Amino acid sequence: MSTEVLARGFAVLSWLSIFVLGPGAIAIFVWAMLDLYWSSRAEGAKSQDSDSKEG
Amino acid sequence: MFDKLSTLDWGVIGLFLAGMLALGGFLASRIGGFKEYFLAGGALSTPLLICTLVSTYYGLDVTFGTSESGFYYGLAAWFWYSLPYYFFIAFAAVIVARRLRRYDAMTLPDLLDQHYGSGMRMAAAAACFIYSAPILAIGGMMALLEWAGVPTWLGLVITIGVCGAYTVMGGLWADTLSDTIQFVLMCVTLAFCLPAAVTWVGGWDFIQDLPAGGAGGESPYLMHHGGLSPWVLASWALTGTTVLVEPAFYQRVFAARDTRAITRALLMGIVLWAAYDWIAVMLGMIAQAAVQQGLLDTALKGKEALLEVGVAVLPFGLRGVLIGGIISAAMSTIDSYSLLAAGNLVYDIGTRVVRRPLSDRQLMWATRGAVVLVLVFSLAVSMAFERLRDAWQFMAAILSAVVLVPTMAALFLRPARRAGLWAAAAGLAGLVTYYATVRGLGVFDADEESFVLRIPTIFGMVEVWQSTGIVAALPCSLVGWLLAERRFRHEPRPEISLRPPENSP
Repeated sequence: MSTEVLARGFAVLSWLSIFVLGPGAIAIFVWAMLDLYWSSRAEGAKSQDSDSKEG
Repeated sequence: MFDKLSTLDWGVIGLFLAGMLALGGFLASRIGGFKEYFLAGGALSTPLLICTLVSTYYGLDVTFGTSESGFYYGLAAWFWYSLPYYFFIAFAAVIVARRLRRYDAMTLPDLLDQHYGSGMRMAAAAACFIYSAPILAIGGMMALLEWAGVPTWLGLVITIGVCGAYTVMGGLWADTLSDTIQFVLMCVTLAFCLPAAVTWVGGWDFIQDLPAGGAGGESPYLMHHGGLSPWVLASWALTGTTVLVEPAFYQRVFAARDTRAITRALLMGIVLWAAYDWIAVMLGMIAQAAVQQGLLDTALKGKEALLEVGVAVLPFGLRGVLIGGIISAAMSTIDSYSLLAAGNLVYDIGTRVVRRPLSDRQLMWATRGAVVLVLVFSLAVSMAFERLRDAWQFMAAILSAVVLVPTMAALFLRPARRAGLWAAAAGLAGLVTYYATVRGLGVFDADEESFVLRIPTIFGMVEVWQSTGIVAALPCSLVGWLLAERRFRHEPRPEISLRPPENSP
């Protein structure tokens, strides 16, 4: 395989990796934070519900 | 001292450490019992699992080790070290995780106890402890601090102290949330680094500057096998089997909200792992090309390749983010594995040794104390190894030699009760014999900084390296298991009560 073809292949794979680790990782981080927020809200609503039932 | 980074860089790092500490303090009051502390109450979702799995695995040893291998061997590091891991992770995600979720267990030794009894529990706990004690990560942190010109003890007290503090306070919740921040920091940092590094060495044609030496003048750096012997390549590939007995993997499986969450997290994690490995290998190769071009010192060590390239190509401020990202990589490993090793000491071993049963809160507080002990122990022995990859392979070899065969047999067959210890003992004996033989009969190779035994065969000279013991240990363990199965074939098999399977992903 010629060096030029290899270099092009490296470039393509590297840009794909950069896309995964840059925007991809940030998207997963945002997903994780939103998931935490939703879970804590759901848990809060559940405990409020059981408190009002007990009351 | 402190000459490689600016005040702004140090400010970024300080802010990051303070944030981690605040997180631990916030979570401390919310942890009520051992399961909440050690397994985050079994409530981890897919995105949190992705972040904690990816960042836990990528400590300094793996990050620097991968770029170190890229620096010395080129593409072979990705094809033969990283790629096999992804197959084992996929297998773990689709097959193993689903089976594990059916057990009423919290750790790998816990699971093996159910099949093989408490002797195997102790052996597995000891092997997991050797693997999990964050000796390498702390060693890597020392090297990083030394490189950055920070007084080592001061740096260690601050970083390990912060790490220990939030892990002691918040357990797996603190670990996971800090991992989530560390995950994004380390990924984005590496993504930033590569384009700047490629421009710095004159574009993608830098591959023409890599040392030649293969047949026909081809550079071994560009060959998938890197000109390495099949023995070395096989041992690299087999190191991937540690995934199947990786304590962090088991902990996350038991801590997952459901089977679907852990399976998805592992499968999505493969894409991130592959990208991370690729960039680390590329940065190692770029460092090698930079040495050839005269941009970096010819005395550059492989394990410093990634750092030197990063500092050479990033402006002030972003260097702080790079070092912060690398410290994150180390901390995410140190916190996770110190918690795991503490669990080995207290939950796996302590609860069986102490006659009086511990209450849930006592168990939690004992584990908190053990985290501190583990960190002090790891700090004390972190200077033993020179080459990161060798040390990693040695620890991985012990874990695989002792628990891989018994675990796979437990998950997929109905093994005899005593077969677990037989397989563990045979695997360990094989590994010890291998190391003793290579060190006793081999010679020290100064280039590779490792012992090698050269054996003439009809196919030519076979080189057997000190670090490749896993190739010998696993067959020994398998033979031990087969012998035990034959010897105890008439004994009744233990009955394991499993939960009904959850919905598939």
